[in-house]
Amino acid sequence: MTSDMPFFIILSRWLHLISACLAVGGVLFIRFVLPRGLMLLDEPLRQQVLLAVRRRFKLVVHAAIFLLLVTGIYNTCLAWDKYQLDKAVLHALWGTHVFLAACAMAILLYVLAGPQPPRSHRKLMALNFAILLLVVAAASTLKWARERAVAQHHATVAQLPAAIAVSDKP
Amino acid sequence: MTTYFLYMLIFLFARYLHIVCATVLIGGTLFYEMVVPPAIDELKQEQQLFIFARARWFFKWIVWASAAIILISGVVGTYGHWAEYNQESAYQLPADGRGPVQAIPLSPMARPSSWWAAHASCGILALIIAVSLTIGKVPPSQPIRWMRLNLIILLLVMFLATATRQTRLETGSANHPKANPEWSESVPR
Repeated sequence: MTSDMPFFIILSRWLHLISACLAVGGVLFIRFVLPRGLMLLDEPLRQQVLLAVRRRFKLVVHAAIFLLLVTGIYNTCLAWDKYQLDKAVLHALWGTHVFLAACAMAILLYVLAGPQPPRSHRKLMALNFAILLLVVAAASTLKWARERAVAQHHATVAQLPAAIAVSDKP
Repeated sequence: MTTYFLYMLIFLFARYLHIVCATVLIGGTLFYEMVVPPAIDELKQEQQLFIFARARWFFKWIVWASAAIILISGVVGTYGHWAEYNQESAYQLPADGRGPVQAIPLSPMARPSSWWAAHASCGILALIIAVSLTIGKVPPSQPIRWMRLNLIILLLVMFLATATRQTRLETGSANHPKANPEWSESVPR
């Protein structure tokens, strides 16, 4: 299945990464960079700009979440066989990645829902940024562990003929 | 065992930093270029310029730190995968797992080194543009055009990174004789 369609595999991973970039970079920018950029403006004007940016960001986030879900499911289906090679480690990492990503998406949707942000939006956005960094860490470790599990599996398979030959000897 | 584990930790941490900094740089650029301008479109020209200038000043530190970390972690990552990038043959196990590992010559398009070279050169170009856009007190003329160009290059860089990884995995680097020295005798010379 995988060797016939490398283009779709690359495209799917690329879209997943772009969507993640939009979410992580957007949260960083709207929480830490933009407020400092607007610091010297008058309060009403600052609120107006922040709300306008928030409206735009909401559209971007919804599209990013949709793409993350679709490409994430596709990527998981492609790699599911490999996840069976070392269930304890790979399923734990995959589960952590998915759980934290779901938390981050829920917080983003909550903070960006409605015409006005909730009172605790600053704390929630900062928390969300930390969670998103953990999501990236879990994904990065998962890929590393998956490659390692595949390499170990190949090594085991390669040693099988020798082991069989030894066991066949009278 | 301890040295091996330390190497693994360093490579894993370098990979994580590389991804995080790339994400922050690309996401920040996307936000700066795609979300902020339409949102402040109704403000006066001078107010728009003021907001851009202030945001640029704070974003500058993120860009510089990200660029430095991306370069260092990129060098570490490249060092870790260098043997795999320079493979000229794909190493495949027979379907039944019996018999010697087969070495199949790779075309230039299927070699990880070609994709890695494209990724590294485009990445360095994008970092130079990003850093040069934030140097000095006044932005260069037509900053939005430069940012758009850089955004396209950054997206291309990301695509090339994904393609590099895919070709590296498809060459069967796990079966490489260097990864498994005990097999080297079974690989056809």
